[in-house]
Amino acid sequence: MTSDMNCERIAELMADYLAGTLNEGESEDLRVVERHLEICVQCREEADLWRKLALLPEAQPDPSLRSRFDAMLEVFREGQREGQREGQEGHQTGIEPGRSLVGRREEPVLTVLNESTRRAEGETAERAIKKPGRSMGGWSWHRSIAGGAWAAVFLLVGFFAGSSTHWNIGNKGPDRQQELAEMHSELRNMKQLVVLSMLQNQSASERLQGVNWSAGQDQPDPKVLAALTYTLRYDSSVDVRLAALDALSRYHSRPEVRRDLMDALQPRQSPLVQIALIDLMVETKDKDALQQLRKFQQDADLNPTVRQRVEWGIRQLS
Amino acid sequence: MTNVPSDEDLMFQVRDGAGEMLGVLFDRYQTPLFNFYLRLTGDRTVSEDLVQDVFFRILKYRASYRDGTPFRPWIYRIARNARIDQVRGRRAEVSWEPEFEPAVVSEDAVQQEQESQLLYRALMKMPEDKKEVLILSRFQGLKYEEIARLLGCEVNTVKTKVHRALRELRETVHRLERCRPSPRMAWKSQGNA
Repeated sequence: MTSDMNCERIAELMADYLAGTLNEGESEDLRVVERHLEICVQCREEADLWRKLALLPEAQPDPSLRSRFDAMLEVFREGQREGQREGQEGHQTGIEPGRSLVGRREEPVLTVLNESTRRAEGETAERAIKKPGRSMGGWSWHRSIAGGAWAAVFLLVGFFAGSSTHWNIGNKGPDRQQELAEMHSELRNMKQLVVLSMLQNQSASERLQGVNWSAGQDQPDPKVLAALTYTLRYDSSVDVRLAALDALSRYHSRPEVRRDLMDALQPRQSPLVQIALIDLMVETKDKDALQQLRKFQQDADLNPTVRQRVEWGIRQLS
Repeated sequence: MTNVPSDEDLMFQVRDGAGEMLGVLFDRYQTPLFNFYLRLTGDRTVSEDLVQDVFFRILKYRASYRDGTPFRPWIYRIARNARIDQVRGRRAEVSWEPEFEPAVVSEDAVQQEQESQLLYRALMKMPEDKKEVLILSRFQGLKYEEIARLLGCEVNTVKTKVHRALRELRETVHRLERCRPSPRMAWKSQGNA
């Protein structure tokens, strides 16, 4: 009986021994393991390694991880507030808990969209957790839509989501009411999809599509704005961040957006985005930003190009 | 004396709409999860992204958290799936040795530091699928039965995997020990120069 065979045979007992559960069980097992450890160098070393693993230091995540989480939570709560404002039944939150993302009545022109969504939604949320798969990864359905169909959807949604002055709002019969209700429903669903796409870290091109869609909206939606702010600060792709900045800049007349833009000027930010932020502050003649710029200037590790831009920005705004 | 809510209590509240309760769960689990990913991948940025992804998924799938579900195995199920999806989504597979600096160990125990650095490097050299079970049982506080349910295999399989992972770890440590210059020699050569 070679030592190797012995090791294999008591592998399971060893695992229990290491976990400390062997003491509770049969004392015979404990003796078997201890006897083996007396004669087997390899297993002794492995038991030693197990103990030494406890020496491995515990790394700390960057504090910005918490801010990033908070920003995501903010998007979620913005969606909840919206749901409460609309006073609807159930929760129309920014992150919909596994419910159908498509409006109740299906427009024929959106059939392609709906069918693919139904396929993806075929797995319940629970199964999606048990099995990793495309439905968990986010927008699996629109990977299956050809590029042309996606463009058509955008066109259509743009049509739906255009300014409400397009439509005569008023009691022009039940058909018109129905139409409006469906439009609102589709728009709301679209916003949810877009918000979700920005928060999920699957594909940069998908997040970019979401950001670009948001940029085309006339009426800024609070949770979409929150998602754009999140994207500006935390997206893993610089291109997507710049696109988010572009989208947000359209709403710079709103004080809360200006405040979020100022807050985004942080040391831990891509230099390209830092420069774009400074340029925007100067372009919009945002004097409130002067203080933030001065504070930002204090950072010792600024990229030289960024530093020049900051100094220029301060001069322009003073 | 205030009652400290359990993970499960908090998750019930999240499920019922109290998103801010997730913040407490975040405080409890961000570091263990981060370290779980770090030990698997060796990459800080990827690990941070994945932690964020896990909490996003918790929010998104909160309705599916059922009564009687222990929270810890549930969150690690989500964590594993997030990693699997992320690996699938990666277009360019860049395979490189993670140039990783483990967190600072106390300067006093120099010998201990060298040893734990060696151990860390050996762990980083192991493929993810081989060391995952070891990490889950040794660091993440999961019992073998829980890991078995997580992985969808028998408990005995989990125990065997732990044993094999330790064996491979030991062999890797030996390999690294043979390769590295002995501290005495390095010191000597400095003196001569």
